[in-house]
Amino acid sequence: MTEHITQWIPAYYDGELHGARKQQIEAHLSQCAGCREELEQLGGLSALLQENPVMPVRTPVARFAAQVRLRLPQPKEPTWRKMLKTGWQAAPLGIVGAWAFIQAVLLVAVVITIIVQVDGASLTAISPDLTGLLIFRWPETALQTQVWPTIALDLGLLAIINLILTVIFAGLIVSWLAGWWAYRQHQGFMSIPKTVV
Amino acid sequence: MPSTIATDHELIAQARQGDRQAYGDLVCRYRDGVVNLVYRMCGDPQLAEEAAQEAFIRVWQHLDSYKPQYPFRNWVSRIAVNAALDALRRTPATVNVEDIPLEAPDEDPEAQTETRQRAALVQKAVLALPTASRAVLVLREYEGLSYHEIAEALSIPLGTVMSRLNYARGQLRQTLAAQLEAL
Repeated sequence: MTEHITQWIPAYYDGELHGARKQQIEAHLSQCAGCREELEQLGGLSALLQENPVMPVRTPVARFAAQVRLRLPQPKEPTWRKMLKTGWQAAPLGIVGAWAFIQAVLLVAVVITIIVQVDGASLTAISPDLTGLLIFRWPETALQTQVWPTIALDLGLLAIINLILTVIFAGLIVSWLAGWWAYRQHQGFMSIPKTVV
Repeated sequence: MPSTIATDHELIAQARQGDRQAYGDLVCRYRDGVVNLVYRMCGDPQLAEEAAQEAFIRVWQHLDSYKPQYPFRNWVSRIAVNAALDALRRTPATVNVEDIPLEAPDEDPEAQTETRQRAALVQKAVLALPTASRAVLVLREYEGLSYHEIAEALSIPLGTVMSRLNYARGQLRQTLAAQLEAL
């Protein structure tokens, strides 16, 4: 019983016991001189340990804090922000790429238009489905007589589509450049050092 | 105009926003506590200062995970003791306990009092403990952490905290028996 109680004395000394267990220890301590001495020795040890010397002063506290501040890493950028930044930086490439792709498609459309209008039968022979690519078609009866005006009309339509798309893409590029310029201006303003010592 | 001193919580909030100056003020407040804790763990002033700096860098990195309802000092102590353990793992044989002078180096013999000899003996006895038991003892005796907080700080079960603490105290009572008698 005494052995069982003794093992709880350090926890009692450290204030870690509560309720019934604490009352049990207190009741035991009131009757047992040996356990009271054990408790006193724990107190004596704690008092003795407080004599353990503190560290001799080496670096002044302000200098220590400055050294820590110098070693502090930059705060980590959130992943979503990194992705947004990368996307923003890649946006002009995407716009130019899309514009180039549309130019290629329109060029192919021009070539097909000319081939089909000059010799529609040739294209039909290759694949009837390709004739669906024609933007404007005259009735069969007028095909031979109206070939060149038709080509001119098709090319004109393609040119208008190309112009509209180019203006849209140019607008996107200009918007991106304006956004980039505004961002740089803001960043430059924010990064002005408070003091330079 | 009356000067206002920012509370710990105000400084912590500012530091969380990336304010390094505010964090520097926090470091100034807690420097002595952290350095002494680490010094008691490793016994080498230079290593203690490096480990203390490392501890403050970790505090900065994990400031977002600090819960204001708990004492900041305890939270910092937990990080500091782990920084000290890591420093001891990297350089385990920095201090030879046998090399610690029993008398403080002082040219004036009168200044070498019994108290100072006793302090050196206590330091030597603490440093002679196994690192794991020493960490528990330092957190309990010098930092006043509860068993539960120590268990969390060192990622060990509560029972292990009690057994390591009992072991450390038992060892110290044997080593410092003469000094305890004199008290």
